[in-house]
Amino acid sequence: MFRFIAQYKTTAVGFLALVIPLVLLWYHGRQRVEPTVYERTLIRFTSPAQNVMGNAIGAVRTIWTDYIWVVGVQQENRELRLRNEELVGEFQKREELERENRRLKELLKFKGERPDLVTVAARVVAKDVSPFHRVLKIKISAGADHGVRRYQAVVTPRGVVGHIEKTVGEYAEVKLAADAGSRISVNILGRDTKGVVAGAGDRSTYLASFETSDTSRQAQANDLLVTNGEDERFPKGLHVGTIDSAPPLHEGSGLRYVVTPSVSAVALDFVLVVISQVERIPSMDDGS
Amino acid sequence: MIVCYLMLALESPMLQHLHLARFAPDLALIAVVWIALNMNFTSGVTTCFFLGYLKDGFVMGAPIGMHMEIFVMVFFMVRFFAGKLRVRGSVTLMFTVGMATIIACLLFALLSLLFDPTFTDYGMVIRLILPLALVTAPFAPLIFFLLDRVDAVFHTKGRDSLFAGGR
Repeated sequence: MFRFIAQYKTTAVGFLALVIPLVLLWYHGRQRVEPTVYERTLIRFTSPAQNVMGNAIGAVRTIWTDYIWVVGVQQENRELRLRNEELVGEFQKREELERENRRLKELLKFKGERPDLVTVAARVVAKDVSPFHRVLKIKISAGADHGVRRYQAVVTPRGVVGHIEKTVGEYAEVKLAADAGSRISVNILGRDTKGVVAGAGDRSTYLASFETSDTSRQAQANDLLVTNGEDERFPKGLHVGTIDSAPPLHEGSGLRYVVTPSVSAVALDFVLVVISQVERIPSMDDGS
Repeated sequence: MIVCYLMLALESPMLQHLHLARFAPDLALIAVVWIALNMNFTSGVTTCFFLGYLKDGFVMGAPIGMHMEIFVMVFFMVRFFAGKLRVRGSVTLMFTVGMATIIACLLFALLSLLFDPTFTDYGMVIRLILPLALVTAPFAPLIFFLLDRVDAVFHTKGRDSLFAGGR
């Protein structure tokens, strides 16, 4: 018997190894609703191992993603920050160009509105900034080489900036209307009141003053002061500033008002230097 | 068996994490080829039988008996051809495993057709035969090396200690 078994052992094992799976397959291929004892045994046997391995892999993955991978993320973060700074820089440059473009358009428009003024456009290249961020002098990129001379008016579409103080080659220094040495002959717009806007020279307030001997007609707050051309330096009709709400001071026989200049030197980029003036021919619409 | 059990236990969650379930190397099948080339008939066929049983447990969806049958049949075929061709070197080994994978896939399709009425996606099996063979084959040298090392360790203590007997 044992000899018989030993003789056919290999064949029997091979046969059973082929047939048993087929029987199981046939049985389980049909019955899939309720788990059989073989399936339950398998699940009990395999699930814990899968669970342990799954947790182990999850832990390894966590270590990788939360710690080791973070090294790569830090590098990426550095690169992104750098890129972000570059983009912010580009964006600021673009914004600056847009602002520049707007101001240049304003200058062109102003030139169109005032064809009587022969002007030279110049870029502000330097500003004399006080500790309180007030500008009293600026340097522009137009000088003697461009026909710019001392005392010529420097304006923007918003009004008077100041006058040329010095010219050196391709550059000129501008004394602002708020500077102590500056005096501009003006009228209150819509009235006959004449006077002079004098720079206060006060770096902390950046204001000028309107001095008038006409005490009979008092100026009001927000009255606009425009050049009257009598000083032969500033062309007629340019805005200089507005009367402040502060009450006037009596000085000798006249009055002195606080004036806020029309043009803020802090935001200046481009200016126009009035190098000569053509006689204006009054039109039929021009009432003056 | 223990090594294969651990491999199978590791395989499923690892592939899930790597999102590679479809193109996963069949490590158990490589073990079957190793068994067919290295163990004696009775121990080998028994090991493949239980290895298939384990695989049926780890591979959810296939009815029990599917991989048992496939592994036993692959064992027979590899053993049959191993008697005629000498498997030596990594390239021959990879070729053998690649062929075994193709046979296993075809057997899976055939057995599913005969015994598993719920399985209908035969087109996918056909499409995946070659990719699976190409993915599985390169792992053959590694798994063979691993199983050789483990076998060498237990060989000194007695070949039958791991359930799988001597050559």
